[in-house]
Amino acid sequence: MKKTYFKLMLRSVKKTYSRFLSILGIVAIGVGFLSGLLATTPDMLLTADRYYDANNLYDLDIKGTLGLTEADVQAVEGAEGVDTVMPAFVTDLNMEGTDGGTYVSRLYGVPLDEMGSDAFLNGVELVSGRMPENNTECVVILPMGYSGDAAIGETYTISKDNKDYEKRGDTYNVEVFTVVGVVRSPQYMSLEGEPSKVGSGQISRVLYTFGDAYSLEAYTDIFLTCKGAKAADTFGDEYKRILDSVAGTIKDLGIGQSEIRYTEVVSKAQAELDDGWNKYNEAKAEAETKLADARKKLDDGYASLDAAKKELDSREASLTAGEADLEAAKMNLETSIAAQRAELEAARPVIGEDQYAAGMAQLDQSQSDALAQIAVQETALADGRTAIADARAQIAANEADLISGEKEYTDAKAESEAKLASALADLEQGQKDIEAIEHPKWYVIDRTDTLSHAGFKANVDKIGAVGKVFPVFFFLVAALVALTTMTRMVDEERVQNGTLKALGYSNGSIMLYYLGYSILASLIGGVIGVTIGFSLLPKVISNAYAMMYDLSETVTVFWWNYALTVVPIAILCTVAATLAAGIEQTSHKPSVLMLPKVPKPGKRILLERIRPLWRHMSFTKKVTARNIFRYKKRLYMTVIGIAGCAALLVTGFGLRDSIGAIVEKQFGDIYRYNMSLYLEGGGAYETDEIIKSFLQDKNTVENYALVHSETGEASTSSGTQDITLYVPKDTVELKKQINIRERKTGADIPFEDDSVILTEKLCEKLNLSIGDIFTLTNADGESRDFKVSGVAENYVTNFVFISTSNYEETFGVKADYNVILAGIKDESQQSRDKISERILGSDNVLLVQFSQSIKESFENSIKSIDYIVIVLIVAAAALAVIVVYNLTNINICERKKELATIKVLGFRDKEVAAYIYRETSILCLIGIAAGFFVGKLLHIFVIRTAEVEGVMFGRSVHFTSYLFAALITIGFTILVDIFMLRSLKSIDMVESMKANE
Amino acid sequence: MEYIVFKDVCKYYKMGAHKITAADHISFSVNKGDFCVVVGPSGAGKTTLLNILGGIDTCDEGEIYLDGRLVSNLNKRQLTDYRRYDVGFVFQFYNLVQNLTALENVELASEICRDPLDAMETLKSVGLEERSDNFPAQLSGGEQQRVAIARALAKNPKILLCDEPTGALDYDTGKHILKLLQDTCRNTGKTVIVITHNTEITRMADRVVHVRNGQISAMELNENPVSVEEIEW
Repeated sequence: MKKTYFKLMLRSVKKTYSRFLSILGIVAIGVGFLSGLLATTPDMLLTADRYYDANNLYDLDIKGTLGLTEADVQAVEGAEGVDTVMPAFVTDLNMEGTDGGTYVSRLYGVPLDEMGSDAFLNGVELVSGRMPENNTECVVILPMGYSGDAAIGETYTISKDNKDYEKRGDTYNVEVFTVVGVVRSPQYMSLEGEPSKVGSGQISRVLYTFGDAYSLEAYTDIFLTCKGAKAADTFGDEYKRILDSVAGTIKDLGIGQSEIRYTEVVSKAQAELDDGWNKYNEAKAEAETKLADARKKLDDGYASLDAAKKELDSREASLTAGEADLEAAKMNLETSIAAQRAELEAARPVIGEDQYAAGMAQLDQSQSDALAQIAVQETALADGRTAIADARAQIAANEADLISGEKEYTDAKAESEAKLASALADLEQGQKDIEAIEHPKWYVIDRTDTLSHAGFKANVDKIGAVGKVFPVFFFLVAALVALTTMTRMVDEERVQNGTLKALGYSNGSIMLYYLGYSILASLIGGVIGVTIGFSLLPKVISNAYAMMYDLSETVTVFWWNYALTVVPIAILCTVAATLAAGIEQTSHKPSVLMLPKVPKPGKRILLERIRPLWRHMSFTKKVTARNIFRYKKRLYMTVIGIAGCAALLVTGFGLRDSIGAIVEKQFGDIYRYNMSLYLEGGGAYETDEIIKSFLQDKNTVENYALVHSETGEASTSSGTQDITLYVPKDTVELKKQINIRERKTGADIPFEDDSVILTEKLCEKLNLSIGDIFTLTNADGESRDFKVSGVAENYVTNFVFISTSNYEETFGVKADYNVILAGIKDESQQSRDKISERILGSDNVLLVQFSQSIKESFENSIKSIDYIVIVLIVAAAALAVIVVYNLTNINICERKKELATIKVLGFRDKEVAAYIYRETSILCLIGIAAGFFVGKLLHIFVIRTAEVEGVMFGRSVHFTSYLFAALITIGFTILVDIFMLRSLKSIDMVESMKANE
Repeated sequence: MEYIVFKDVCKYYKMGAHKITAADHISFSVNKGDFCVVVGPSGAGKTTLLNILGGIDTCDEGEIYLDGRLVSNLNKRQLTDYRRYDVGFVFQFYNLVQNLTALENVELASEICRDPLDAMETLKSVGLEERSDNFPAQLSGGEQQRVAIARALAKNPKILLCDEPTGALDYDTGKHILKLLQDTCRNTGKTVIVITHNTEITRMADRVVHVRNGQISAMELNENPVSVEEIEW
């Protein structure tokens, strides 16, 4: 390019800087937005990838059904492609918190003292507090959805609700864990808790402590990283390839290792069992000996007792004989004494009185002597009697002892037999158990299998989808702005171009001048756009995503691939527009170009056919009406630009409405209950006194409904969705707690015995409408077909409502009411705390939830949407300002003479302004109307792509959102108008004297 | 009777460091109903005079009266009203609004006045009744200028100012336009001031002002102005 020519171009840029800036600006905004939105998804993925890497997140996790041994660990370490291996204990269990609530918790037993070293996988980042120092301390992760406040110092105790509570010692060494710190981990960055097979089915606490808190003999998990995986993008194909290959190796390894483990477990169990048999046999023999000894002793006792009895009898007999002898002797004595007395009496005369007296005395003496002797013998006999009686008593006692001994013997025998029998049964069962031990299996899962990871990827991809729509406006408008601006510029420099052509410059070089101008503007705009777009938008958007994911600081990267696509496209747009603008002129001969351009003729428009209306319009209105249709390019540019502005605003505010609707509608209109109670099944609501008295407490509970709730799946040919099945005890009571209605009409949906009511999002996903058939699979895996009878408005979770009779008949199972939906009278924090305390006193209550608490946490997260709305308002403002500025600027420049003329004719400043601004205003209003329409479509598109599984955003945009969108658009237009007023006032009337350009 | 009076009117323009005197103590007067021609070579300051009189520009010194009213010291707002109610302007390049039909262009002016003439009647008076629904682009130059004159007349102004009204027209058409202006002056009694560089035209004027280098070089009264048809150039 010639030097002077180049100088001309630079001067031209300087002279027409406002025109240059408008091209530059629109390109910067368009490029900024597109590049920013394009970069957001990869930036967020990169942020997650780096977060993973920084904490040494595992690539693969091996779970062995029979546990994993040191030998397994070594085998895995030796496997090809494996980098670092860390065995760990991981179990899910119910934990009771200090607040008395039961939380489904995942307890990690890991070598926390190695944390931070390369050998430690799945690192956690300390948020507050400190790391545990022993196995009674733990740190905790709170998935954000459970906005509970895990204060340091709280304790978590293994809950009695756990199934194997009795055998807890087999698994755990520690029962109470004290929280010493709060941590976060890339493994648990999602708002939703990871699924679990325990309790409510969703992890609400993740605890980390030392491995020795577990008493298990084998590890539950082996975490490992793969060689080269850290360097690869965790969301990319390369990573997947590495993972697949190592996972394959590990799975193969698992087959062999599992067999070893099986043999080990079985032989160990068999050895133990054999030991048991031996012990049993010994015990049996011992018991038998003992029993025989006891028997013998008893029998001996019986024998000696009999002997003693016999001896006693003989002694008694001899005693009796002795007594008889004594009686006889007594009789003899008396007889002999009497005889002797008689003799002596007879002899009295014979022997004399003295002799007689002496004889008598002698006789008396011998009689008393004999009697004394007899008395002595009698005493001896009486003693013998007493001794015998005593001996008899002794024998009776011995006999009683023997009888009780006999009973003891019988009891002991029975006991020992029973013991042995049960031991035998145990042993036999043990044998069966060993036979029943299944061959173990290794399950190899990877990090992409977690809900946190998969959900994050899906959600972040949605931004990309949303991001692809917005910039369409900007590029369209950028092209139109460039087209109108360049057309205007080419027209203005018509004579100059004619002169240049006459001087011998070729069409190409003239065109090159304009191309250079527009390329320069769009290149600078593009560079500014990508620079700002790449650094600003990802941060702003990921800020909004922070409501769902606990990520580390967003990483922003300059994506050359995007920059080198987007900027050239923008340049191409302006180049095309410039070519379109310039091509007409270069086709003319220089002589034609040097003459002023024939003004574009006025044209009749359709409106004029309506004569009466047209006649009543003032001339400014007529001019406006004709002008609008005269310059179609400008019409399109302005309408599209303003429509884009309004549409973005409608979308932004609508997004806010939609997400706000969840709170407002779900917890305001649809859920009439404000408290839900999750119970153990088995009719606890009837039997538990605490629950019963609570439900009957009319001062606290307004009303309630009993519901059988279970999770399941609904499927059609369109797919399968997770659902929550609600089977109310009484459909009328349920409807008092849940407002089952149609969304669009607000009409109540009747709930009859044969009704099958599905929620809207579910129907949308499964492509179902009333009368269609779908398959419902319940928690037990039983599938039945149902016909949809109603589609209910609902925003959170997919529900299927069927009546108890229908459920019981169809599935052949009794409904087990495990959820109570209740309306409580006082929703204050104080009252809620009181109710929690009261209800959680019952062992049958798993969980108490208050709608108020959920609502509050939701409302907080909605505030983050405001970020996006602000981004949209800024973008919309930029769009509106550029378009209106450009239109007004062109109108003023091009119609300078016309404006000067009407000024000469005596038009006041206000009238002159109205002459120009009426056109802007009308186009602006048309644009807004179009924007409402486009915005509505865009809004639906955006919320559909942005919706998370199981959640339906509100579908409608509030009237006020339209109003605000319109007001803001009008506001920006007026702002530009006011700004442009200066240049309108500065138009010199002398301009009117000049020749046509 | 002096209808328009210029008293020592001066106008300076600053061009960088230079000060250019566009009007140098100009004094003259025009009677009511006069057909006045201001003549002079290019750059003599004719248009400056007209602009100042028309309220498009202001003078730096001196006084200007119209119908006894001092108009040289009006403020911006008063000047707008002055242009609106008192002045009719005819441009060299007609300055019609391209997007309005002939009739609408006339209405454009008449709609803002206090006591306008009927737009259609005015258009009829310039002989364009038939073309009233045509857009400027569909009209010839002469026709366009006639619409412009009608537009100026419809405002029912006190004076009609014409800046080189024939400058962009061919000979015959130019003559027709001048005839129309002259007739208007004669028939309606309007004071008409025409600027031209063509000295031949002075023969049809009641009053001729010669301008040269921002000064009035001569002023003459034509006792017997001739009709346009008799003038040739």
